[in-house]
Amino acid sequence: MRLKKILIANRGEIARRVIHAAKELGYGTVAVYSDPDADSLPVREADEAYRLPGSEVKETYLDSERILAIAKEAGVWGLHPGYGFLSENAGFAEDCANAGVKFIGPKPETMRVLGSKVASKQLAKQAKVPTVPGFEGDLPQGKDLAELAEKIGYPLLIKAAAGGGGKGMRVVHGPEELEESARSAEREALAFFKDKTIFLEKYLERPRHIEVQILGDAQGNLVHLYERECSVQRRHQKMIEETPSPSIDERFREEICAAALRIAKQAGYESAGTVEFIVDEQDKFFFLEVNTRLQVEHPVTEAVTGIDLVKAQILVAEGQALPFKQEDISQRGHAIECRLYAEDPENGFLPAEGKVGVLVEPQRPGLRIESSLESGKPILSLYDPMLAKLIAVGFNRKEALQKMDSLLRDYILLGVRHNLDFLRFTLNSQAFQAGHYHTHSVAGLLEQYFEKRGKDLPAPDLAYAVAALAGKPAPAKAEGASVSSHELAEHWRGFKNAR
Amino acid sequence: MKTEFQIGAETVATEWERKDGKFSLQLSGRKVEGEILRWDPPFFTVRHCAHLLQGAFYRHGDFVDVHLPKGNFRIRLAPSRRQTKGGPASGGLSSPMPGKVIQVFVKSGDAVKKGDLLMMLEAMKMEHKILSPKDGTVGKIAFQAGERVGQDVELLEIL
Repeated sequence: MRLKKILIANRGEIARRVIHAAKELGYGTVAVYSDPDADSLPVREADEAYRLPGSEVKETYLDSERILAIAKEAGVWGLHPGYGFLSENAGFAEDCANAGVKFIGPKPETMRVLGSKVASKQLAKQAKVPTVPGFEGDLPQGKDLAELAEKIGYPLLIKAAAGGGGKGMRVVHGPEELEESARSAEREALAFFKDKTIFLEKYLERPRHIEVQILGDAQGNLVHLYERECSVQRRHQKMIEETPSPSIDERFREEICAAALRIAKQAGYESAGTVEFIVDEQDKFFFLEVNTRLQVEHPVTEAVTGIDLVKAQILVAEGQALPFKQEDISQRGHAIECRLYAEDPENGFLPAEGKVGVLVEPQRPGLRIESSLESGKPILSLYDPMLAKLIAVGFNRKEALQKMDSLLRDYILLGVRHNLDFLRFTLNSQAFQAGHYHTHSVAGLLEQYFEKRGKDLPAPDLAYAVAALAGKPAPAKAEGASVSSHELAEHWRGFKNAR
Repeated sequence: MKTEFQIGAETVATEWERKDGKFSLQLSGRKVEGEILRWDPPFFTVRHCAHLLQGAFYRHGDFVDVHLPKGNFRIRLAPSRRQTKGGPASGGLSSPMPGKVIQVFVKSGDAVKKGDLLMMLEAMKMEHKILSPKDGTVGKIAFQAGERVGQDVELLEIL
């Protein structure tokens, strides 16, 4: 019999993660790649690779028609979307089904309901799970919008109905920002999700973000794989995740996991998903959304439960029943994940480009590193700035933190600016060590970080000695090297802070 | 040997020496010294302030990225002469990051006030507003909506 194949409609580390899981299960693997990714690791690791001409995401990894045409040409059985890109696009999942390609994820109708923040909130209410006060439905314009905003009360959060990962999200502090924020959120939502629907929600001041991993099969079996604490965020992007959450007790854990299961049951959920909650200072949790896909932070759950979520997704897609029951699943030890981002600490942590000049990824017991970095490869700002997922697992939280600290200290990536030092600073902060943090803690930590290292991050004397010993720089290029003045840099800083 | 560094807005000249497995550097009146136990680019092991330290470096253009146990640092060498010329013209606004121009809100000759929205950039996940730093008139606009820009590239000028 011919090898059954799975197409991986993604790039970078997650494409590799899925390729490896599919190969373990005996599947043939098909990669797709944009022009800048032609020589990337997943392309070489897959059994077959097909080109998506172009470099912008819209013409490559978001081009559902072309990807589906490749799926048919390659004769694949299934398609795994990874995360981001087409992973939460119900229309695409439906097109796959119509083309006879098994979409490895939830049913399209489930994705459609849960993908809409409005419909999913209604579903949560039906499942008797509390939701954040806000407005669901068609958002009015102009004066009516302002009145509605006033009724919910500032500060407000604007969210893309089809969104995720902070895309199309804006905090509005007062009426003067409302109209422009709404429009810019709509533009971003349209660009990323081809759907400009946005909605309003009360913005909690010191919230924690706790989510529950769920897994279901076609036979109707549903389990949860406990929670993940994801409150360390910047620009609405998660930075550090851990499990178990250090901020909840057993009773809370039972309640939040039960709530997640009620939502999953109400939705008839199949495959892997994540029910996200926001938790206020009084330890009340509210339903936020369901991510109908694998999450970036899935490895921490895998580490403490021993369950391979990608393989579980594939088995469920094959129509198999889950090979475990709720009582077989427990949390063992503690796992933590840090996301390595290409961003410049000396430039307000804005996205950075560069090249992988030197790369050393330490290998030690209890560490898992997922990246697709290779020496000599350029880092482009075209795609997601996440460079790698660094995961440390320990017998308890203390040990996991110690392992992570040593990993962050010894991981070497030179040639592009990144957030490793800031991750380490955050990890070792009093708030994080104590497990007392919320989603805005990072803003305060950032201030301390610059205070401690100095605004322009002065290097230790030894670094200058090494730079001198390193010898003369390569000849400078004649063009394109404009140096912005200090004054202008200050202006930029001002703009950024004002954002 | 002499090496010039760019530290903030200043150019700092240093003298350094590497001899008999030892190094020393004069930096702003401080003496930095140590022993080189291994120099195998990009990796090195040195003894410095009674500590054995392992690190790595990567030289690119005018920069040297240095990894030490205490962190990662980007050292800027003083740029070569021809490079210091031709920075952005006065009034020029340069791009704070590589990305794409998604919208231009003004045209050449428009009068603008400090804080006016001029341009919208997008990179990876976020939009970034380009606001006017002063009252003035829009001069040359270097990019149209849809075009990609690098970092520190002049976007437009306010005269």
